[in-house]
Amino acid sequence: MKGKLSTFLKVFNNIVEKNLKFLIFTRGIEFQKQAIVELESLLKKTSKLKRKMIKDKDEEASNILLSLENLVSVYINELKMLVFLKEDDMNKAWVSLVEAQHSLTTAFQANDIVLNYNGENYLEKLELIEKAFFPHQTFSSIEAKVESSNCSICGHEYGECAHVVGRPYMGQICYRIFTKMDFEGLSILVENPADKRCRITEFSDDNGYMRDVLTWRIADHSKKK
Amino acid sequence: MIQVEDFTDVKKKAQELDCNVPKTLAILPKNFTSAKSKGELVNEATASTIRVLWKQANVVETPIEKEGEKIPEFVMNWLEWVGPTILFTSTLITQNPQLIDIALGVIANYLTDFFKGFPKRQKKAKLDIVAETKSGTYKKLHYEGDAEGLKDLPKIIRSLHDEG
Repeated sequence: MKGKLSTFLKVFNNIVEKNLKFLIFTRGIEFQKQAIVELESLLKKTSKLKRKMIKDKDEEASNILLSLENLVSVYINELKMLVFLKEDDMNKAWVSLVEAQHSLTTAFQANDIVLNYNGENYLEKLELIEKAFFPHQTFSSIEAKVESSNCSICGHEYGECAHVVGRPYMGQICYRIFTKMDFEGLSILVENPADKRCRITEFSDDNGYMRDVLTWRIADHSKKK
Repeated sequence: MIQVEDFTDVKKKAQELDCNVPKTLAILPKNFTSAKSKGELVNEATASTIRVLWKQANVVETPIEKEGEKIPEFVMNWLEWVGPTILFTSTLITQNPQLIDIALGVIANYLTDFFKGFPKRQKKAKLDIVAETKSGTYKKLHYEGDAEGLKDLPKIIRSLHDEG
């Protein structure tokens, strides 16, 4: 590994190691909040070095740093989830968990360096947290007919260029930007949605009140009826 | 999981829809058998990605789309990977059988990387393959499983061709 990146990794690993001990529910919330601040600062440093590597056209280093950026985002979001759980803000806790899962997937797509940070087990850990801390949920997903889409890397019509969705290119993951599409419908009861934030948030109880799926509390707008 | 069933006459259906009749390898729209007109056809969202991967591996497709035509893709925001329906004609299976291994191997390799960030239970691909038999009928093979399992399919495709 090249000089600048190698030096940065030592700093990176020290900061990560120092803060990982707070990724446990029982740790004090004040330490967890401080860990978020330190990791957000590390995220900024990682992004700054990535931009430098992109400028130097060092694709491997750029992709490694993209992976590390997302790994730090995993830790930050997991910590935020713990804080929100303690503060009784379950909807935000859920969003933080989903964002941690999404960041981990991106970290894997970007580079295998994530394996050095126990990435495989981390995937399973986040799955376990989801099952242990949150109820089974109903998700929804859009269905659309796409007539035209552009590549996020080069801007050309997707499929006409050589970039492939989900692969890293100079510090960015390729995705499709839909430019012409017809909305076909919304499917619910999706078992594996791409975005777990698209979920049914309330249900109607026997008395006609709307209750929050996560907290079981009667929704404010329902109380006023 | 692998399931095999009869499939519609691709040549006849392609002509009915005013499409090209595929000579070797092609991606078939997801509603190829039920579509009443060309305008109804839709591909799986992964079709264009598979085409890029094949192009990079020098795998030549004989598409059902005529020059300048484009079939829209059906997108669902699901995490599972649903591949397009892939047709291997009898000509390809008999004259260029190694192309089956290459065409599916490219997809398997792509999926191995694609699934890296997925929990184990979600590392599952769904894919339909249509093989023309030596007697000119068509069989559809439905595959659900991991990326590695795709590498076992060429043998099954060849035997479906020979049994038909």
